[in-house]
Amino acid sequence: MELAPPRGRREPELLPPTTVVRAGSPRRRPRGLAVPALAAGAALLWLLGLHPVLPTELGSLGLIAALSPATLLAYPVLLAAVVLELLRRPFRPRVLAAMTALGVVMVYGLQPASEQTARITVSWLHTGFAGYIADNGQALQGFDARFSWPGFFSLIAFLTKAAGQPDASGLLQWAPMILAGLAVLGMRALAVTVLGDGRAAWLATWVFLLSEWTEQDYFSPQATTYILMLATLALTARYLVRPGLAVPLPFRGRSPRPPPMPRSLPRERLAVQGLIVLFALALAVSHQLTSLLLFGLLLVLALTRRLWSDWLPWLVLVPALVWFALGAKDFWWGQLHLVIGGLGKVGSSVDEGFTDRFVGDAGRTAILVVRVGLTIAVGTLAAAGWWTRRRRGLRAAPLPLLAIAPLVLVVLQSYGGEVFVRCYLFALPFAAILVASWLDSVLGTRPAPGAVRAGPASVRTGPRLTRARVVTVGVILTLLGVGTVVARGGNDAYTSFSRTDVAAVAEAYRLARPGQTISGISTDALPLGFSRIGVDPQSALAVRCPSYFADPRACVLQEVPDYFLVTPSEDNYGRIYYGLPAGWTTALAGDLVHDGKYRVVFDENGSKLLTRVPGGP
Amino acid sequence: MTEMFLVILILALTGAFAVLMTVRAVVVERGRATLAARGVRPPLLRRLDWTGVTVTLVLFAAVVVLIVTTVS
Repeated sequence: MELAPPRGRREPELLPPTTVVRAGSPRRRPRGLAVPALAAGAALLWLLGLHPVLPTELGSLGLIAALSPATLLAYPVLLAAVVLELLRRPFRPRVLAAMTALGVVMVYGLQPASEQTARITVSWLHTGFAGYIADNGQALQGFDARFSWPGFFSLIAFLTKAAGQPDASGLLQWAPMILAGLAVLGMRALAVTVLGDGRAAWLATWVFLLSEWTEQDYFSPQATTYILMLATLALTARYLVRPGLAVPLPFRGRSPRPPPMPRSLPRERLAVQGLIVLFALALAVSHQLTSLLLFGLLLVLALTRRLWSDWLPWLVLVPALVWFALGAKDFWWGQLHLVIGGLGKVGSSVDEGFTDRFVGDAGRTAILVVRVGLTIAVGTLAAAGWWTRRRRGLRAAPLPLLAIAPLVLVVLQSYGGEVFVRCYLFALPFAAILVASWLDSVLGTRPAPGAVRAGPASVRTGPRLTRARVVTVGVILTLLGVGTVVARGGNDAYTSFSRTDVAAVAEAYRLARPGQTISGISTDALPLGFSRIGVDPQSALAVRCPSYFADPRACVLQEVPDYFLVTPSEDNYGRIYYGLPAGWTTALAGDLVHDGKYRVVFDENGSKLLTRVPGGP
Repeated sequence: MTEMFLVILILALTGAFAVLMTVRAVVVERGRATLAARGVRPPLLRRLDWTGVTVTLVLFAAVVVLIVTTVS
């Protein structure tokens, strides 16, 4: 992903450091093998501490409570190695790259490595969507809004058919690590373009890696389009932005001079614009939100006079608009209120995206507090980075504007209660760059990123490096990393599944005749929907019977699904959200069987499939 | 019938937009020296920009009319 500098383009003329760093001097520099050995020790600790985790072992704090001390210790050890390597003069990019890959595995591969099967209901549902397209050659009209943007599902359908696989479920489990790893590569490319290939760019990459708690990297259109968005931003910043995102515009008198040309070649700029149009076409048919956000971010660049091609934002928006009008008709026909109904309703967005989420027991609340805390911490550190740059005379408007631009989404709509999660996700790359600027200034001793010419900004030397400053950076990175591990696994008690849960659903698919209903209790706690899309109605009782937790038995008897699934994840869901007693789903299944309304056709490790008794309710 | 007309109009405007943007990108690169030195767009570029604005506005209007027509 890291791009070679365009021909004819020079690296930023960073001045050489003017202070001697005590901690970085040869006598105190970590020995050549010490840092790799420390990182290897972290990997070993992580591997030795790993053990299988089942939903039945998890409580409302999620995965973190089930991790071994060795696994937990691995994170600060790895981050100590990263900080020590960044203090070396010069640091070794290959060692940092290897540690970054290890960081991706340790943060994003934790759940795939410790849980039996893929998590998150929606990722299973997306497999079903791709399977439908593979079987029928087209999207299913009138079924689900996501079918109106079928680009990702069509790609997966093509891949599974080309590989001769029955479905895409084999891709699910490790998808978060692969997709998040690609996003980290995209972030690295963007950071190098903006900050140069120095310490700050590595810090930005690590801040991004350690702060992405949103879990939008599961098998989904959002995860793949996010990578395309980062690629577009990195290409734009490298080839089409002038004079650089982190560089102030030159002034002539009191007004800014026309920005200089980008340092890329004409054919490179034309090729990059063509590539961005291709990305825009892929985004337009794959995800409804990413195109709009990318348009907004590029518009910020155009309005701050940084874009060489003023029309670039519109090259991204027009394909999305045309697809919306002609390709997504199934979505807006009859539910236009979903698109424009939330316009300007900030209060509604705040309620759905923030206030309404604070439900559940103390553990669940603690996880939410960690997520909010991480968000506030990244925002505060980014503000500190902006202030530090400003004090150094680096008043480049685009960076802070790009970091806050995604918040406009709150004014547009609630996005199903996920608006703040998406705002954070799209703001994170630029916030990470600002945070890295601050961390770099804490480590001090080098010219600020973006200092391209001699002047007061660049000759100012950083503070002398003290042990306290190094520890501060290490502690901040560790808190971000551990906080993200806590937040990402916080819902695992009900969003993770066992193999027997999946086997129970597969058994329902095997037994059900076309048109028979397959139901569970909660949409968030079942691996439902990975097959027979459009054949059998598959839904959760929680959708049609919102007060199911008050009397779940009455709810089942009211809806009378032909097949009814009971899993430990659903049990956890009821306990965490509604304070139901442990084992309430087992009691429910027992009641239904005792009443003679249902009989058990699958029962393994707490995962049960019940079928309606003919002549019953 | 109105819908059909609007769909064809949207497709035609999209094609026109694509052609305009391609031509504009080439013209910008050919006149890059003038553009960078003086910050002033040459007349051809200005005409292309105004045409682009018009095409984009009509395209947006066509999309809105299509949605309103279909929904109502």
